[in-house]
Amino acid sequence: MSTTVVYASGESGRIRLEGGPTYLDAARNNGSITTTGPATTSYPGQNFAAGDYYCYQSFLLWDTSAVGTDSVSNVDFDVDGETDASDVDYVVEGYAFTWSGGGLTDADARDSDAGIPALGSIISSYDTTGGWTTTAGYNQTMGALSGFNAAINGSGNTEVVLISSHHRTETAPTGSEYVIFQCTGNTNDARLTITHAPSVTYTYAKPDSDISASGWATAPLWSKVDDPPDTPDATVVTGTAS
Amino acid sequence: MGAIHDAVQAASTESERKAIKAQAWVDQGLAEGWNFTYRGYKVTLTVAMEMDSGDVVFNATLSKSGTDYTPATLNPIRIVNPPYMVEDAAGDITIGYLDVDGNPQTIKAREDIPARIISQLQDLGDKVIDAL
Repeated sequence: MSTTVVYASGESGRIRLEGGPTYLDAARNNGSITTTGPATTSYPGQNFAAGDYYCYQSFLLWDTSAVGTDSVSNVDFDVDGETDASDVDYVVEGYAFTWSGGGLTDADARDSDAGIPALGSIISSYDTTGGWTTTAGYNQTMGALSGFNAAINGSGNTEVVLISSHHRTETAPTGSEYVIFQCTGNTNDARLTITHAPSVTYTYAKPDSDISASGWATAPLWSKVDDPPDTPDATVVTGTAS
Repeated sequence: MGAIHDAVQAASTESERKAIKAQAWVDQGLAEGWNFTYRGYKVTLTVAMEMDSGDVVFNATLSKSGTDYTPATLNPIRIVNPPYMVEDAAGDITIGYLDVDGNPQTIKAREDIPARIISQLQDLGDKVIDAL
């Protein structure tokens, strides 16, 4: 086992979608767009200010190549919260999303009609009803889920986009719905703490019997072998374990 | 400004920047046996910090009253792209950013590698202690 602590790389940034007086023009990226990368602060969420609607997305990248082929058993995703502007609460959702080719560009924005639904499973989730810690230091969790383990790219960069649950559901903001955290190039850049260990492959040979397992009080023990058995009818099961 | 910050700013690639930060940690020369007490627990380096593939790598233990509480999952510890600054209103480093309204803002900071090493070890200690 080992622990790898990774701080966000300088490529990390943010995108702002602006829809003017029409919310869906922001949510579906039919308005104007502002891409900032790298960004020292980032703020996933939404906003309605001075008659204009905005959707904000954060794009984070960590060099996780040190994990290699190890099996990841846990990920903690922590940030230094700066400002709590979640006057209306929402969930900051994280998704694995490879966006880094050529650096962060307008094309990386995820719209609510096609882009966000295509992101797949949520790998981190933080509900702002739990508050947003703004004291200095890594006091704010982003709620990494078990899916984050599989999202770690041991051969390169792990890339994530953070969006508002209200953007995903196209729920228009009535005011401020965002939280600010330190992103990259700051004093406390977004951080992953990864627990991992070399993958171990076990190979088991099927018991040397064709007796149905239903006839046994307990399933027959399978013998662990170093190499696949020579007998052609033997079943081999391989898997990984920490 | 600080030498590390200047070097980071002058570096042309992200891997160079990471290595400069990591080397700054290793250059503190914290040897095996170096320790401090946090939340009543003794944090001890059992393998000195060294560079490995541009990262900082070391081992540490957490003990209290002679009992070792170090989880089997902790070591070795690798720090990738480590931090080197702390916020300081009187600091000589200015970090600029745009707020949500697009207005330029700044944060003042200073270099302080020892403080960052301590805070990193404290954060790892928190995760261990809170799980006990």
